Amino acid sequence: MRDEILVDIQHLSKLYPVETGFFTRTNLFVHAVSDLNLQIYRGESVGLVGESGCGKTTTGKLLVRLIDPTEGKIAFHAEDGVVDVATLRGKALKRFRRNVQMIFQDPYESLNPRMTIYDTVAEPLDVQGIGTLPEREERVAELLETVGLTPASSFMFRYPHELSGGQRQRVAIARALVVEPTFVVADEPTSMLDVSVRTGVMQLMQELADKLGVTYLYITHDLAVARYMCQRIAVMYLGKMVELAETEELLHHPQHPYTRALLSAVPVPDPTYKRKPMEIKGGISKPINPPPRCRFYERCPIADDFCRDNDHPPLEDKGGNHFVACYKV
Amino acid sequence: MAAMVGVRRAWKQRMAAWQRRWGTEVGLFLRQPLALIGLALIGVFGLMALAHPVLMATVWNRARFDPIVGYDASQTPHPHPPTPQHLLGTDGFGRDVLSQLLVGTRVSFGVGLIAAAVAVLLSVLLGGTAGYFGGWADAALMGVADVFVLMPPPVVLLIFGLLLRLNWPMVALSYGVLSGLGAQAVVVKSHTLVLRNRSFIEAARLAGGGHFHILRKHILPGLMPLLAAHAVFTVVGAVLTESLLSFFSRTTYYLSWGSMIWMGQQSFRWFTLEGQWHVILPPAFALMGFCSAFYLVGRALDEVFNPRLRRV
Repeated sequence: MRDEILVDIQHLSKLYPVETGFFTRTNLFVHAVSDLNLQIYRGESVGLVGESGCGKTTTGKLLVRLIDPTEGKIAFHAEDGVVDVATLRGKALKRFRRNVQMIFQDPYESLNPRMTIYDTVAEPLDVQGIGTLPEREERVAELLETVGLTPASSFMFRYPHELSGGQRQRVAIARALVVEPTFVVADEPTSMLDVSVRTGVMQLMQELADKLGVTYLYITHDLAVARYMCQRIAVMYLGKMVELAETEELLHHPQHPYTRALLSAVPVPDPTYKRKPMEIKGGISKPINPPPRCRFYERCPIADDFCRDNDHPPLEDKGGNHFVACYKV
Repeated sequence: MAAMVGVRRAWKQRMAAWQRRWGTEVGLFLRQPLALIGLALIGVFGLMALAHPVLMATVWNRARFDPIVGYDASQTPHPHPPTPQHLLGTDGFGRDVLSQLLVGTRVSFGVGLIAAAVAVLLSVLLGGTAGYFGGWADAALMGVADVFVLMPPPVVLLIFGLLLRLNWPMVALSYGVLSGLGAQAVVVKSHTLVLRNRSFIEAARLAGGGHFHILRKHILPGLMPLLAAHAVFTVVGAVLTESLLSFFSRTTYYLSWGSMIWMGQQSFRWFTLEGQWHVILPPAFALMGFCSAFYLVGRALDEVFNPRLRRV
C-alpha cells in the first residue's frame, strides 16, 4: 500500500501580491507556500502541522484546486491516468472534482443556511449529474446513516440551524464523501467543535478511511490530533516544510529546532511538571519577500552565520524516511 | 443500512421542512402588528385600484365621472362639496374626486412596482457582478455606481422635468435606474462580497459547480431578503417622487395624486382653512397611507431578515 503514490507535489509555490495601490504595480509578495515537495501515498493519512499563517490551509486549497498555484506541479494519480492539478480546466477539472474533496474548518460557515441537509449533501451529485432523484435520495440517506446521523429520514430535510456543531460537521463530511473521492483534504475539521464531540468526529473519519479507502491530508495545529489521525506528519514553517517523518518517529525524535519547540509546547497533564524554557525566541516573522536565508533564522537557537548567508536549507533524508530541512542537524 | 426513503414521503418531508423554515419567517413577519396594518392598507389600495374600471363600466356615467374630462353640469358651482352622487365632491373643473382618487391609486401602483422591479434588477446586475467577480469588473462597475450615488433621484428627475414633461412610466423607469445603479448597487455588492467569501461557496466549487450554479443556488437566494427590502423602499421613494413631479406640473397631463394635491391647494387655504378641503385631503391622505403601508412592510421585513434586529 505504501508504495503507490496518489499525489505527487513538486516545487509547489503560491505567492500573493501585497496590495499597495490601484495603479502601482507591486513587487511585494506574501510567500504563503514556497517550493513545497511532498508525496502522499494511496490509503495513508498525512498530517500537515504548523502554527497559524504558515501556509497549511493554502496548501490544502492548492491541492484541491480552490486556488491556482503560482508555480509547481501537483500530479494526481487518478484511476484513469495522471493529471496535473495545477493546469486542469473545464471538463477535466469537473471530473477531477469527483476524486478530490475537502472538509472545511467551520461547519457554521460551510453549510448554506438556506439549503436543507439533503440539498447540501446532494449538491455534488446534482452538479455532476449523477443519478436520478430517488437514487440521490437513497444515496444521501445511506451516507447520512454512515456518518452517524440516524435515522437519516429525520435529518434529511432539516436546515443547518436545527443541528448542533458536531452534527453539522458530520453533514460536511457526508457531502465530501458523497462522490466517493479517493483523496480528501481535511482542514482542521475538529478545531471548531466542542471537545466532547471531537473524538467522535475523528473516529468517524478514521472508520471511513478504513471502510472507503480514503486518503487524507489532515491539516491541524494540534499535534495530539495529528498523532491520532495520521501515519506521517509534515511540519510547516512560514510556507516551507521543515520536517517530515512517520508520526511516532517525529514525536519521539524531533530533529528540527522548530519541531522540538512545537513539541515542548504541548501541554502535559501534570500540574507539577516543570516546563523546559522555550528554545525559540520572538514571534512568527512576516512572509513578505523573505530574505534568502533559512526562514527560521531569526528564532532559531542553534543558527549561525552559515544559516544566515545561505538560502533556506533543502529537505534532506536523515534515514528511515525522516526528512529535515536544517543545516545544523 | 440503506434507509429507503420513498419519493412520496421525501416530498412530504421536503414540504414540511420548507414550511418550518418559511413558517418561522412568515410567523415573525405576521407577529408584528405594524406589518399587518401595512398589508391591510396595501390590500385596501389594491381594491381601490381594481374598483375604478369596474365602477366606470357599471355605475358611473363616463361623461360625468371620467377622472380627466368628466364634468357634471347638474351640480354647480365647482368645486362642489360631497353629495350622495359625488361622494368626495368635485374639483375646480367639475370632475369627480373619488374617480380621480381611484385612478391615482392605479398610477401609484404602476410607478412603484415598475421602479422597484427596475431598481432590483439593475442593482443585482451591477452590484452582484462587481461583488462576485471582483477585480476589474468591480473597479469599473463601482465607478459607475459612485456617479449614480451622487445623483439623488428626486432632484435629478425635477431637473429632467424642467427640460421635458415626463409620463409616469418614464418617471418610474428613471427612478428605478437612478436608485438601482446608485446606493442599492453598492449595498448589493457588499452583501454579495460577504456571501461569496463564505466557505459554502468553496464547497460548491468543489462540487464542480460553475459560476452560474453558484450564483443561482447560493448568491441569489442569499440576496433575496435584502432585495425584498430594497424593492419595498423603492416603491415609497418612487411614488413620492412622482407626486412631487406632478404637483409641480412637470409631468404630462395624466392624473395622479400629486396633480390632485396641486388642484386642491388652489381651492383650499391651509392657514385660513378657507375653501374646499375635500379636494386636497383625499389625495394627501392616500399618498401618506400608501407610502406608510409600504414603509411598514419594509420595516417588518427588516425585522425578520436582519438578525441584529430580531427579537426572539
